[in-house]
Amino acid sequence: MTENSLQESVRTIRRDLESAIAAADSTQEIEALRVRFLGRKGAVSALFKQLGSVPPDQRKAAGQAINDLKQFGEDEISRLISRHAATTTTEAAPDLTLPGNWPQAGSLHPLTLVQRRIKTIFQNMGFAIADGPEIETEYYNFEALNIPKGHPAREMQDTLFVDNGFVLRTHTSNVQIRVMERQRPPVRIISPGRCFRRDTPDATHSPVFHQIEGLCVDEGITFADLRGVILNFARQMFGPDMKIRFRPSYFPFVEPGAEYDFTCFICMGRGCRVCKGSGWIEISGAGMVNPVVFETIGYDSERYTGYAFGMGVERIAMALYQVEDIRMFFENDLRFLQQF
Amino acid sequence: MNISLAWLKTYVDFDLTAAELAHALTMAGLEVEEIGQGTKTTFSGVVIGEILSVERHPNADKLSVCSVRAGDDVVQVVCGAPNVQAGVKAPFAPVGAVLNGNEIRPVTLRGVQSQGMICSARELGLSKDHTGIMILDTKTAGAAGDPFTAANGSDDTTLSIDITPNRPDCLSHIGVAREVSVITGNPLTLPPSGCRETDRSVDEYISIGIEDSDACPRYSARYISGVTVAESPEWLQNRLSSVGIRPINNIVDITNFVLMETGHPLHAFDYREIAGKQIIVRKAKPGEIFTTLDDISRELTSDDLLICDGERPVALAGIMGGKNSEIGDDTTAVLLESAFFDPLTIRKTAKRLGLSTEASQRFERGADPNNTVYAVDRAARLIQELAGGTIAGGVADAYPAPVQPLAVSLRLKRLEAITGISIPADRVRDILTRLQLAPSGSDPLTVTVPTFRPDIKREIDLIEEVLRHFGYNTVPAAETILLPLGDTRNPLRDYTETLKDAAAGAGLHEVVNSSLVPSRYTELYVPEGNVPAGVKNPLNPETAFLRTSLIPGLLTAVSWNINRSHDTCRLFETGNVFSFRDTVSLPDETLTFAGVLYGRSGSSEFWSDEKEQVTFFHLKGLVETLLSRSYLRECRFTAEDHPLFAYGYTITAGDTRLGHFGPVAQSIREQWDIPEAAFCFELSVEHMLAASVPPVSRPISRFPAVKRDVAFIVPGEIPAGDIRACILRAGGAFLKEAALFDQYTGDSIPAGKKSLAFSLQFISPERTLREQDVDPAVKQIIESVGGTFGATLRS
Repeated sequence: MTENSLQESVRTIRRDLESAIAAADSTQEIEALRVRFLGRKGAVSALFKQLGSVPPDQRKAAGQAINDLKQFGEDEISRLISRHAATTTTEAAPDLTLPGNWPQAGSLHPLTLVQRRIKTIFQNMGFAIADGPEIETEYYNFEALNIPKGHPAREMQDTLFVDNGFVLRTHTSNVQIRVMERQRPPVRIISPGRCFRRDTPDATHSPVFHQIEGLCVDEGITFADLRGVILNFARQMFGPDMKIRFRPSYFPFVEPGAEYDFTCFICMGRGCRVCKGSGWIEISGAGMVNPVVFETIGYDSERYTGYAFGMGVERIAMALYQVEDIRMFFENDLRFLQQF
Repeated sequence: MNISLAWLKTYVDFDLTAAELAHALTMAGLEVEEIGQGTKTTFSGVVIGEILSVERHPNADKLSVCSVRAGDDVVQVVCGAPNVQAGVKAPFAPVGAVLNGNEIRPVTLRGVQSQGMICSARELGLSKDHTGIMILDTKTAGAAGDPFTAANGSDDTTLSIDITPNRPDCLSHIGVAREVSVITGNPLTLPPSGCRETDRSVDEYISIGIEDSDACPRYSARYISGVTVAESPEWLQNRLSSVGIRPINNIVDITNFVLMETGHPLHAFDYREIAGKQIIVRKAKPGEIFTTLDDISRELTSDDLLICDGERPVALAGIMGGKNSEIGDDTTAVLLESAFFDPLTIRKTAKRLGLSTEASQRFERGADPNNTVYAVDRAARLIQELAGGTIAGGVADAYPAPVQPLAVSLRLKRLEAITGISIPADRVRDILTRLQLAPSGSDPLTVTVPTFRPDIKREIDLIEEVLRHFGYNTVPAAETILLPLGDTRNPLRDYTETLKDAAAGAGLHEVVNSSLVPSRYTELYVPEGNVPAGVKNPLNPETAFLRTSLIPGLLTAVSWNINRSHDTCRLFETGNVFSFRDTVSLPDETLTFAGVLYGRSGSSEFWSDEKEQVTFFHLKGLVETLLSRSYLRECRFTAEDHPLFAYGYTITAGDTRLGHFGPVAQSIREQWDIPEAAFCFELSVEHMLAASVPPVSRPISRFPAVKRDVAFIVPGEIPAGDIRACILRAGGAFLKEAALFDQYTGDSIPAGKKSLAFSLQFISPERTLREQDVDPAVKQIIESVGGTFGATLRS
């Protein structure tokens, strides 16, 4: 065989290959044409076998031509395969309405979610997180907070007493005292935690509940600073349109003492069922630290001033998630928990 | 405290609506909880009825048959009142209305149908007047058919105010009027107290001896003779009804009226019953029995204060009078007591006896020692006016150590330092003056604080008073804060949050249980050497102890969900558990992390999967995952009994015990009605944090690993972990891991034996390993496992 006739065969096979590629439109056909041309017993292999009969001086050029053909075939077929794969589905779609399969995720409790948000906001304002015991001495829970024995305010908070003369803390304000005892000003802390009162459970009361209390003490701290921090918290938590309202009230460890309200975040102040038409949601108490408290723990009450505030985690979570009954948080019903 | 607006208006003028006044008071710290229409009514569904015609009842002389229009309906009503007449309007209770809990039904009276009832004031609980129907002013009463409210009768609105315990002065109409005078700028007018006295001095009738002047710093009294006890006039009855006090008789009503007016509690004794013309104030003898007005005999202690005559106790001081000396219909001479008692003494007794009265509430918070005479004069004047009689000359007044008003100074600079704003000095002075806190001087102001404000002792109290009326909301919110730099981290909190994320990521739902549990929970488990912490005054036995473990709460949550058709629960909780180490220190509070698995395994929830229940190995895998996600990679599990578990492991890291896990013992599951196996873990967060090692990256080999699988047939009782440990020991420097991938017993394995298959991984950080590196190691492993355990290689 001469190089010419072999070259002729290469051209013929190449034309056949091109038309076969143009015609192929299924995986099976593509595979068939691959076997026909490039397989072990295919047309290209056959050409290589004929190469031996070409005179040696022409063999190199002929071999080059066959190699080119092989390369061309491989490129075209692989292009065809990827084109085909991209445009066609090789198997029928399953019933897509069947449920998906992935391990079920767990969830965090709504009280955890709310506490995290609150903590982050205050941490960004430079407040450290402080802890204290849930079972406390009467000194830290009452006396040091200017609530001496026999004080009517002790009855405002129905206390649960524990063996050996201790109490279940009625607020996280005990942490204020513990922190100030071990640290000189400036002090800037929040203390989130569990509190207890002798309340019969109903839709808005739980004997176990969670509070976050804040305390800031330094030189030059004023009521205006307290209002600034509370307003900033309200806006970070519920949006830039929040307004705050302070009403005078009485907590023995702060003076001037206040209760503070936020714009109702359900109706944005227009008045609705949640805020009972007032446009405001009661949050908790706040005020300037009573100098008596500073004197008890040994701060110079002329030099330092400070503010303290509280907030109920359940109350905020109830408003935020529109939970109507505080007991939902402690029932641990999966139908409730899975919503968060 | 209930405040009647009509009553309030007699001391201070205001043209605010009830809602405006309520808002203004609330913003001044007197929180108005409710705006009510007159009294708390004892009726519902009553409307205004117009009486169209009145005819004689055919079968009864004293009854009339009326036709009454109420809205569009005209109904026939039989009425027995003598004053019923056509053309008037009166409260009408149609069929369906409720009076004192009784529903009005259609009745037939002497053969005539009656569709409702025309009411007297007494039937509506508005006064004791039962002389006839309550005829309304035709002009001011609403249209026939409109709802009838107490306001229709009394033309009054009441505010229910939550007075904070520091403000005893506001437990009175005058006290609230004083606040209103600051709000409105209108003057406060006090009611007159002057009396016409006879020449005979009160000393002829009574002498007062105070044995305990700490408990009773002052005792004042007046003597009035020749009184006629009768029903009070309507205006007085209405006043009392409007604030929720039941009218009794003129004498008692006047003491209550003056109490509600001035805030000072008074007591009227029937003078006939006062033996020896004397009053002795003394502490009770232990075990002394005294019968109070409510007819209850009470056993007293030496802490209780008694008012006695020459022979016996006649009142429990500051709380309630005695049955033996109460005002009766035939009383003619009255001894009026107006005293001041020590708040703590009254508080203790009231609390111990569980007896809270209008009087005790005021004495507990602090009455005004310098107001006794004004109050008793005011009452004497009203008694003379309404019940007649003559007032003996003077007040018998024992006041050994008069209480002086405090002088407190107020620096304007300090006011600014606390409030953050500058309040004009004139405004400061004006607020203080209207509050009757007399300021003098310029800066500092010297403020004379009257004794009706026991809450004001220091400068800061005055600052609050000024800001309260200047307006808390006039203080602008600071727009910047000075931020002292410091460490704001809290590693335990941060770590706890990491644990929560790991648990939720592993498919567990977070629960929150109460810390208060019944004793049957704490009996299950207490740390060795400790005792559970009990609550002294629990609401009920179910909340009488502090939890010693989170597991009972988790089981309760599982049980709750099983009962609500959940067949699978994967839950976790973090929280403190408590127990006492000794009787003097605060209890151990251990922050704990625990979880429970119940029902289907997490990997078998797909519809096409084999349904598989959770097993111990799911729990073990979960625990391993959680430990590893919380930086605890080197933990040891040691089989150890635990009262909550059928069997289980203790988890340690180094020398630190972290916690335990295992299947819940069947007896415990039965207590919670949990039908299938449940698996729990419980870990100390603090110990975990202490043992945790935050990750530090180690280099990864760039060379490929060589894998070999080997299976041993070993005696069935040999733990897989022992085999694995043996492999790791024998495997040489390149052996990286020996992972069990199959345990098999069955056909091809001899009885009493099992096959354990391990996947071995060899790797070098320096080069690609070759057959000749690995083969000797495998051979060494086979020999070592064979020699140690009598294991043979499974072909």
